[in-house]
Amino acid sequence: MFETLNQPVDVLTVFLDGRVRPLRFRWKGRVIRVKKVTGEWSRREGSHRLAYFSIESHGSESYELCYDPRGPSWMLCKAWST
Amino acid sequence: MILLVDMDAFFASVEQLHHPNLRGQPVVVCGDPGRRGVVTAASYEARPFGIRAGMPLQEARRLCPQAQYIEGNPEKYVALSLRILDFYLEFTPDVEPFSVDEAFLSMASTLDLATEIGREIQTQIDRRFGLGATIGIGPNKLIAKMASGVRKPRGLTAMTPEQFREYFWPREVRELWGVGEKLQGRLETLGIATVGDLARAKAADLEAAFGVIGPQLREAASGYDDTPLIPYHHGVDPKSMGHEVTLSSDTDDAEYLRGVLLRLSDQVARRLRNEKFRGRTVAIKLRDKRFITHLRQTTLREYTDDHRVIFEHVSRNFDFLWKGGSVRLLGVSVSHLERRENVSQSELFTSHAREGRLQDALDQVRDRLGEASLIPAGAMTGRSRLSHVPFGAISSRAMAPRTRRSDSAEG
Repeated sequence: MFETLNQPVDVLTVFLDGRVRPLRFRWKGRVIRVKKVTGEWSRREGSHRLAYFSIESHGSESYELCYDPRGPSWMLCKAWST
Repeated sequence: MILLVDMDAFFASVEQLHHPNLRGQPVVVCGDPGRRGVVTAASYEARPFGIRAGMPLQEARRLCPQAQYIEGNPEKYVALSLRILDFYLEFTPDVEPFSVDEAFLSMASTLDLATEIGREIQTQIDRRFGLGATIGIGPNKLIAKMASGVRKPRGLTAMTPEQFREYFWPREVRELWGVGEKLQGRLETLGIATVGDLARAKAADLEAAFGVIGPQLREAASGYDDTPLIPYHHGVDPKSMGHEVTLSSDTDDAEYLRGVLLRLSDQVARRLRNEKFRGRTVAIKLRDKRFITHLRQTTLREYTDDHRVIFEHVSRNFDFLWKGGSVRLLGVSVSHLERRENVSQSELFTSHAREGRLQDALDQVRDRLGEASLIPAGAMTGRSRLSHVPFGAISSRAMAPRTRRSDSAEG
């Protein structure tokens, strides 16, 4: 099931063609590499737009990350725990 | 020809697409799974257990406790839906979204050619988006829509009017698009049990029973439909705007119920203003603990987008409907809409002008800082039970330090 976390995380990020993409992030002392961005959407919060990503890691785990341009900062919103 | 493309179990399929761990498993998309509410969507793996959209979550859990219960995310589904609409434009400029997961496409072609194009659309949807779609094809919207229901998932059914009659006439009248349970009951009292019975009924009898809609039902039963397809870039004004919420538990706490109604009135008013509409008909929906739904509406003398006006009438109708029993669900909607720029100039010079400027200023604060920055004080009643708002109208970030999600949104 999903665990809702909403924890700040450090994310190695690439900005390419005006878009932001997560490459890998650190969580619970591990570096998790993004294998595939499986989904992407956004949500407005006041005058800012937060970017959300569903990602699949190389260990076939599943996460949801949120990029907040105000920080700029990243948040780990959800993690799939078995 | 018209094609109706219906994304298979869209919300649940998107969750399975985004999260590999969910693939092949029964998935139920709902409000907050930790609270009660209703099933928004069920994956095809969940359906053999009897789970269907609209079913109380409690019942779904009883039928399939092993399913994965996932909190729905409208922004996620809308984002993908818009990408899919763009994809349809590669085939035809005439695309009319029918819902977040359905769209009508119109193209000048034979039934055979449209069938070939339909297959190509299905293949491309699978390849590009990793999703399944069912397609119905016919000479009009009615036949396309009904054909799409013949074979699911990933089905493709093309029908001529003759094939429509051959297939649907022996079937229950309830299968006709637009005929619900209540209408089926009324038709049955006239001896009309099948779609064919309706097509063969006398127009005068139907008109006497149902007014102008009677003969239209008869035409539909014969597969006739002249509803035009309106491409979405032409824009169609909404008919109403509303929000509803299933409460975290049944309650007869009047202060709490009024707080919910004020919050819903505020959300509806805010949405009206955001989309530059005003409305004249204000309606309340109240569902009691026995699942009996009560509706009452009031038509105002003037158009409004002010939450205080909406709440005043909603509150009055609540007093009329509510007899003190436990309430399960509340909803507020405004219909009979008019674009804000159409409102007469004279209104600008009335006493409303000052309040209008104040409202604009308050909206600017919320636009900049988020919905939670300003909330009507009365809507804070029972705040710990009020944190969740449909479509994130109140920022979860702003509410997070003191609250947990509770109510589940349905509209």
